[in-house]
Amino acid sequence: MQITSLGPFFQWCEGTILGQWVRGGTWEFPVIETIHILALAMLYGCTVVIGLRLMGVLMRGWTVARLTQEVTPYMNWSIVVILTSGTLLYLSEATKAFSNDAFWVKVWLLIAALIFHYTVVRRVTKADEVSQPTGLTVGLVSMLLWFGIGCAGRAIAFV
Amino acid sequence: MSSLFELCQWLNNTQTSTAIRESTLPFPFIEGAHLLGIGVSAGTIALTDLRLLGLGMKKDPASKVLGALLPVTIGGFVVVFITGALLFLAEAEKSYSNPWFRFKLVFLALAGLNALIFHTGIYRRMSQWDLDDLPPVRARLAGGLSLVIWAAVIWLGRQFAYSH
Repeated sequence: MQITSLGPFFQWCEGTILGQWVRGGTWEFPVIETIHILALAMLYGCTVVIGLRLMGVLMRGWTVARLTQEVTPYMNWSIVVILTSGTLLYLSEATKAFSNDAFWVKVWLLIAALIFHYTVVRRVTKADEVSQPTGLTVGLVSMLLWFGIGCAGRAIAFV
Repeated sequence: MSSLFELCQWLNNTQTSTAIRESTLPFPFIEGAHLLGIGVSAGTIALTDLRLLGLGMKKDPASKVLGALLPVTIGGFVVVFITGALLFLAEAEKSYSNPWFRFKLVFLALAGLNALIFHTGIYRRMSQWDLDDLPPVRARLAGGLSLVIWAAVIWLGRQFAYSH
């Protein structure tokens, strides 16, 4: 899963001013990580709300389209914050990340989740109602992808 | 030595505690589940708070928004408290003397108190402000405080992890 040829790029990342800044201090890393987790919470809140509605489990007082409209700004902003803070954390330990299997699992899952969200989920949630097989599948896959990213992220510290 | 410390020491020496602490797999899995639980509970709490602040989901009655989100929050809470208890059990002795952990408990209590004041107060008169774009000041205060307190809980939990 590791793209070996990116090694020099990862080394360059770690040497950037931003990477040095996050790595250098005592409070920077935990505070940026806290912001990362706060954004994760917002993202998970939105994902679960949309996912459970698609699955027909909860939030049935809203149509799929309207509920999605309500939470989409928060979802988009949390993705912006989570990618920014995540990049900063990555820059501070890029070479460690390079040889970490969990990091690569996280990257690939992230790419998959973003593509899935901005293509399939976006299209399916334009309708007021969704057929049960579609709703179940899309809702479940969406939640599992985002949950998988969180777990892989946590695993970076353990592998 | 306080008796609370002795209790933590005793917990720390139980078989379950040692098993989790020294395990290679269960500990990261419990941590992972703890994070997912945080995401689901804190995320839906944030959406609830935004409605109370008059910032989000304004087209719907507050009671409808709160009622629909609560089961999801509770689901997340169940996961986060069970896994949190297990993580504490595994490192009870270390946690006891850690100031970050103590502050985290204080803020958890504050979060509970804030929710209690809300539910026994302005929440009971919700029918009077259910459709208001801008909920009454006590509801906005509860929402704003909740956002700040839960963010602090998450921050303290992170600092705790880096302090030992």
